[in-house]
Amino acid sequence: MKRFLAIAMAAAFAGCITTKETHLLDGPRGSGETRVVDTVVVSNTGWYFFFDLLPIVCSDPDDGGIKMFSDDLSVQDNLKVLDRIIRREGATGLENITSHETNESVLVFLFNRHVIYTSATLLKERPKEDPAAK
Amino acid sequence: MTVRLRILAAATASLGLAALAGGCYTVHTASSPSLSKLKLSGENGEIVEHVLFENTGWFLFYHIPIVCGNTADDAVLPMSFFSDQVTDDTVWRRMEERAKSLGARAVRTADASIEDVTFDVPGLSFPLVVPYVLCYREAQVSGVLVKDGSPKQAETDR
Repeated sequence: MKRFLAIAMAAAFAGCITTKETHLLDGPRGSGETRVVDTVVVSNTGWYFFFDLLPIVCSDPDDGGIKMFSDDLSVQDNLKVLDRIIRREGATGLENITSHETNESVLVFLFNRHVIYTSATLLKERPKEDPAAK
Repeated sequence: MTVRLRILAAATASLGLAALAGGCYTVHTASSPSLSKLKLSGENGEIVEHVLFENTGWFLFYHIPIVCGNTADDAVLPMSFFSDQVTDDTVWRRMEERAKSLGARAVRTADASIEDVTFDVPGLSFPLVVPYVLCYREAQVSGVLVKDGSPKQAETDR
């Protein structure tokens, strides 16, 4: 029981970087001669103690693990993850890149949980149609 | 201790906590080589940075500002008392100033206003939700800083 509780606590308090993607292989037309190839949402979670004075844990964007006592929760970290996806997809354009932060407190301000979300729509140039095919 | 005294003590403690928690003005800036190579839809310029500006604050009876993040450049204290800087306009102005300092233009992509008007008064033996007494507010503006003209042209302009 104690082990289970320890694991549950660790999981609940751990920082976590999560990526959600929606692939639209022949997706809707973006602006101009582009098509949507991927819609990405990156979220990064961090836990802080006592009015955010002491960082407990946050996620590591480089290897997807966690970092203890490190205050590395930033839009820059989310962009690192987005950067890898941009390169993987070979995107040439971008639409609606936004970030926002949510804050939650447990036991007044004893424990604080911050999450930074970054979302973007990746675009790729639409291959030109062959006029001879018509 | 009578119930009235308890409530008074709890309300004072809440205000104290609010002052201690303070407001927080945060600026997140992010850039990457891949991002600057991309073309932002509807824009011709080069992407310099993706930014998120946010400010939080505490208000009494919804309208009276108690404490919020200090958005001034030359701020001595990180928080500002009895002035309302948790507005979209204030945060957006700071983003424009950041863009100007980088020789870029701010393109706003999203903004969010978050508020919490119910507050569980700490110190009581039961959770008492007192709406509109102590309120929390947050203003967030996210955007992209874009530099117009190609780097080559910019060099010629200099």
